[in-house]
Amino acid sequence: MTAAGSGTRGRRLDIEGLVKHFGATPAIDSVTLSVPPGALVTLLGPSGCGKTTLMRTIAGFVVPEAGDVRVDGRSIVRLPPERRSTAMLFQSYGLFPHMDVTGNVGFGLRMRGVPQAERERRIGDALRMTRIAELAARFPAQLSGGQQQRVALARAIVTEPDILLLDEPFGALDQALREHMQVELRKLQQSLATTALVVTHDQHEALMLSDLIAVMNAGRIEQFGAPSEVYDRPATRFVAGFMGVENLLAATLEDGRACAGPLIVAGVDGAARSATASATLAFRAEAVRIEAAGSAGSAPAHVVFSSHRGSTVLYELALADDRTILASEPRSGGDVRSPGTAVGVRVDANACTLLTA
Amino acid sequence: MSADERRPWLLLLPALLTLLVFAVAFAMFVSVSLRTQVAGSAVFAGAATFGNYRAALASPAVQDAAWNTVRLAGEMTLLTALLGYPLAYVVARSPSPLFRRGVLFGLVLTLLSGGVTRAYAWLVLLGNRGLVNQALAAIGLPTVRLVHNETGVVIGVVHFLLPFFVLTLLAALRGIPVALEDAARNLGASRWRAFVHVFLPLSIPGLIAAASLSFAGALSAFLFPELLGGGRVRMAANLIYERIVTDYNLPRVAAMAALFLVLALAALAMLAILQRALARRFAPAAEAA
Repeated sequence: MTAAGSGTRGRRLDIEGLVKHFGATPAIDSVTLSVPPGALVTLLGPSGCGKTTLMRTIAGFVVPEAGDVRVDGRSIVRLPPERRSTAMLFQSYGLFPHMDVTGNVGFGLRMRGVPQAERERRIGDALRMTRIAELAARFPAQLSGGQQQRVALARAIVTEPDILLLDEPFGALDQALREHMQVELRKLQQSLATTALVVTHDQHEALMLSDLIAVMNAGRIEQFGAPSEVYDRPATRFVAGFMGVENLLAATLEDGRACAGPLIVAGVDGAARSATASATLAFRAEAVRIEAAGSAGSAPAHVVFSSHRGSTVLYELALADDRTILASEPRSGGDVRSPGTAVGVRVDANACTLLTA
Repeated sequence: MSADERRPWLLLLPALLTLLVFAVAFAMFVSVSLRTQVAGSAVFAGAATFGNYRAALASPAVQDAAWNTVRLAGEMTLLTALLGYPLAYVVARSPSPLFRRGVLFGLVLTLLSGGVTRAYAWLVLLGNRGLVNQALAAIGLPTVRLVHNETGVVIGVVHFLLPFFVLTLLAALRGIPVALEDAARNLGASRWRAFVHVFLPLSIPGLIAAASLSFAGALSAFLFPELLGGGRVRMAANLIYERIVTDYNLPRVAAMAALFLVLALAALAMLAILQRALARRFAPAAEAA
């Protein structure tokens, strides 16, 4: 337990070589991860990638077979859940239906033996911080989904945990409320300077919330980095696909150029140094420039399909070797190219990533 | 009203007819209880009178049986709950489906085996020369009387009630999300305090429902007191049976039976009121809707 009051510095969370199997399948496959004090890190990945198991291991509900979890250098991996200073916001909120909001928020303080007067003060603070002071006497069944989430959040922060754990915190909210709550959570976490770990499968949520993103797949962390890094420079095919990179083309590397059939991109970072002769050329739809057919240096292609995306038009283009790529183009008042139209395609080398994994 | 709107009522017809038959039978039963039997015959005569009820209320045998019935049913229900709650809890929270199915299979098997068979099985086990006493004698301990007394009756009835109690309670316990206990532990509650502060309160409506069912079953116990009580344990049904067989005074026995029925209904009504009050206290979710 940290001392009460503001200005509490966030704690550092270190996960080292954590392993957990369910049956023969690894749920966590030697995961190592460091969360700097006060940072918000998201565990991003598809369902079944081990992100929730990893979070439950940090909270103490899952006992790992190997590895360590340390808070500010102190190992907590052997402690039962109730002796860890982690507060978890459950996906289903887990509010106690037989207690009112005050009872729910005060539960953690009561279990930790905080005296009545201090308990009341801290409950009041937490309710004000989450803007639900007027709901203090309500029961969970009398609250909307958004209000329930605020109660769960108040219940989690009121104990001033070292580590805040949030399991798909916005999954049950509708789109408009979700974005609102994401911003609010981020502001609250920053003002408290509490180290936080968020589990999500939503890349937009991860990009918006995080200081750092750990992309997980099959129990492993595939990439750990800042949102812009993960978005712009995915480290693996999986990360690229999961972060919504539309075009992943098998390419051969010759003389520092990446050749995906007729599409040749010169000067891609790493192409000259690569140890292998082949790689995956990854680029987003907006990195593709569509030019007039036959323009110098462009690869010939034709339009297969087009669809409006508001301010842009998304094209499906077939290259000469029948591989298709997706290209998005700002809608600058011109006509939408109709299927069958011959075009030239060029891809910006700076917007490309070469993936060998 | 169109034919379509009427149709649901047709589905209720068999149930309503069955209820009607019972209502008619019960009305006849009550009307008989108000008559007087001509001595030495099977003829009812005279004007309607509460004389049979007065006689039954004044009878020490009826008073004893009434008290015994309520007391024993209470003891049996308490014992069933003490054995059944941990069993239901372990089954509800067991991570192993094999274990869960095994226990449920055992309980259902108990339900399927007949009462008489089970009563004789208990005699074999618990009798004065039964397996339990043979074992006690073999290790040099004094033998104990386990049947032909209240102990035997309580054992038999509790064993009979246990599956009803556990299956009823289990349905309620499985409705309590595991996430609530996880949340409690995450907030600093030990396993035990998570149980006391979260699981137990939320299980109370289900516990009362299961206990009510068990209590109703215990109140109407007949077979086990008859076969394992050795004629010493008289519960309501046994007294009624004994009086019909010995006196054959139907109006008298009908009045006695009606009184026991009122007693049973009153006891169950009290449990229902308790259940409602506790449901309001421990599960406000239902009230808010």
